[in-house]
Amino acid sequence: MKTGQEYRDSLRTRNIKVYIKGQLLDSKDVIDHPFIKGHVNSAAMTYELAQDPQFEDLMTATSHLTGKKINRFTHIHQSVDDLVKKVKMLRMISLNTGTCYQRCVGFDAVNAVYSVTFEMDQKLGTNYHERLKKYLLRWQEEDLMVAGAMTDPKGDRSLRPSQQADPDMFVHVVKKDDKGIYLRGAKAHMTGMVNSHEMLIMPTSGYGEEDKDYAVCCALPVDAPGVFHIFGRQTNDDRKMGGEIDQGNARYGVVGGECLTILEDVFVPWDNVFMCGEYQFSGMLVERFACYHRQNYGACKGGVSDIVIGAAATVADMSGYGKATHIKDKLNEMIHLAETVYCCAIACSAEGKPTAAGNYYVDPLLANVGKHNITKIIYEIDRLAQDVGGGILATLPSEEDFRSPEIGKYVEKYMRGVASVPTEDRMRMIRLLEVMTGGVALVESMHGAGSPQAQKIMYSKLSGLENKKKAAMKIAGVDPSKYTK
Amino acid sequence: MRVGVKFCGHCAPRMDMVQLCEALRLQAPELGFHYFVQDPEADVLLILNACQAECASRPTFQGPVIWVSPGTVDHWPTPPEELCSSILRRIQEVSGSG
Repeated sequence: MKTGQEYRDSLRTRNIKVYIKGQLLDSKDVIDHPFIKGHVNSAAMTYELAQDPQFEDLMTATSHLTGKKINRFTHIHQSVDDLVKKVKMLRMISLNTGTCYQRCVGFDAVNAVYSVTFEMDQKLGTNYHERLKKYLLRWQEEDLMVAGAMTDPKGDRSLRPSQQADPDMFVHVVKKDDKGIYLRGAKAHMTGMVNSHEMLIMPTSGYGEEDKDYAVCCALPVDAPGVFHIFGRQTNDDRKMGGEIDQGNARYGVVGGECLTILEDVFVPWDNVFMCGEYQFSGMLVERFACYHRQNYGACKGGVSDIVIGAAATVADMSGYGKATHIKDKLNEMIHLAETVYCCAIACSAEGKPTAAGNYYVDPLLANVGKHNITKIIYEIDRLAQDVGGGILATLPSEEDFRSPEIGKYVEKYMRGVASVPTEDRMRMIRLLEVMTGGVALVESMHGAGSPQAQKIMYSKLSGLENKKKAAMKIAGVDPSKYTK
Repeated sequence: MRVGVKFCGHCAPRMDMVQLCEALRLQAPELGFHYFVQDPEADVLLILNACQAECASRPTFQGPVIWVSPGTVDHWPTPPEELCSSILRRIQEVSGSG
C-alpha cells in the first residue's frame, strides 16, 4: 500500500494537462496549486489513515484476487461486512477531513463494472471480466487512485446521444482498430480527477442499439495523449490565494475539486476496454454504480455533518450562548438528522447480497432513499447550523483586516465573544461553519450521485407499489383480484 | 507479558481508544502493549472499540482475547473511569498472572 507521501510523489510524475482560469499548469506543480492542494491533502488521507493502527481495521481489506492486504478503496466487496465497513470507513474519514476525499467514485465504479462484466460475458460470450480482473490486480498492487467518470455534458437533455446536434455531447467511440479504441467527448463534474492516476469511464445512461457507440466502459491514464482537464470554480475560491482563516477548511478544501475532462480522440488499448457497444448492459452498469455511490452519502455526509454539528456547538460556546435551551434543542435536532442519514447507509449495506460474480451489492431501494434524504436533510442540518452560528457567518471581516497593523486591533476587540477565547479561534470556527454550510457544499449534496429525480425514478421501479395497493385493499375488505389485471 | 492492541477504526469515537491505550501503557509499563497489526506475536489480544457497536474485526488469534467498549470490559458494564483498572485486572485474570 502507498503512503500519503508516495501518493503525492506519484502524482508529480504525471504529464497531466490541467487548466485553471485559462492557464495551463505545469504538470509537476498541479498538486501545489492553491485551488487543488486541499483536495490532494484530503485524498492523501485515504492513504495515510490506512497506515495507522487506529484506522486500519476499516481502511484495509484482504484482496480476493491475491490474499494480500490492500487499501479498502481498491477492494471488491466480498461480504455484507465489507459493505458495512465501507460505510464506517467513509464516516471516519469525513470526521478527519470535514470534506470529500474523492476516492469512493472509482471504488464504486470498479465494483459495479466487476459484476456487470461477469454477467455480460455470460450472456454475450465476451471476455471483459478477465480483462477487468487483470486491470484490478494492477490497481490493487499499485494502490492507484482511479477517478470514476460517468457524467457526460449531455447537451439537449430531451435528446438521445445520437440525436444531439453535436455528437460529442456524450463520450463515444469514434474509431476502432486491432490495437484498441479511440474516444471523443467529455466527462463533467469529475471529482478528484486532477489528482488521480487513472480514470474509469462508464456510460452515463442506459442506451438502445442506435446509441451503441456511446456504450463504452474503459480505463485510461488521466494524462493520456488527447486528455486535458478544466478545473471548476468554487464559491469563494479566490480566498485560497490568501491566508488560512478565510478558507475555513484550508487543509482539506471543500467538496472534491471537480473538473471538466476533455477527451480528444484518445486511444485506449483493448486490454483496458470493459464494454464497447454492448448497449444492453449500459443501463445495468449505470444503476449498479449509482446504487453503490448512493450508499456512500449517508456515510460521508454523516461524518461531514458531525463536523458541522461540532463547529456550530463550538461557535455557540465561544459566543457565550452554548448553554441556551434552544441551542441545545437545535444541536439535538442536527444530531438526529445526521444519524438518520447514516441509518440508510448502514441499512442498505446490511441488506446487501451477492451478485452472480460473487461480489456484494447494496439494497438498491434503501441506497436510493439514503441519497434522496441527503438532498433534503443536509440542507436542514446546514440551515440549523447557520441559525446556531448567527449572522456573523455572512459578515465576518477578513483575515487581512484581522492581521492589519492599522485596524486589526478593532477586529480583535469587536469580534471577540467569550473573553477567555482568542478572537482568532472564534473566527476560524465561524469560517469553517460558513464554508461547510453554503455554496458548493450544498449543491454537491443535491446533485452528487444523481439529482433527486434520479432517486425517485428508482422508487416506482423497486418499491412494489402494486403490492402495497393489494395489501391496503385486503385490510379494507376489498378483493384485490377484482382490480388485478 | 505482551499485549497486542487492536482498534475498531474509530468511525464513531465516543471514546478515544488511542488515549486509553496510552493510559494503560502509563499505568502498567511492565506490560508490553504493542499494535497487533504491526506484530501479531502476543500473549493477550486487547480489542478496543470506540463505541458501543463493538464492530472491530476479530483477527485469528489462539490466545485470550479481551473485548472493550466505552462502557464494558468483556461485555460487563464498567464505568468509563474504571476502564483502565478493569482492563488491567482482566489481563491478569485471562493470562493467569494475577
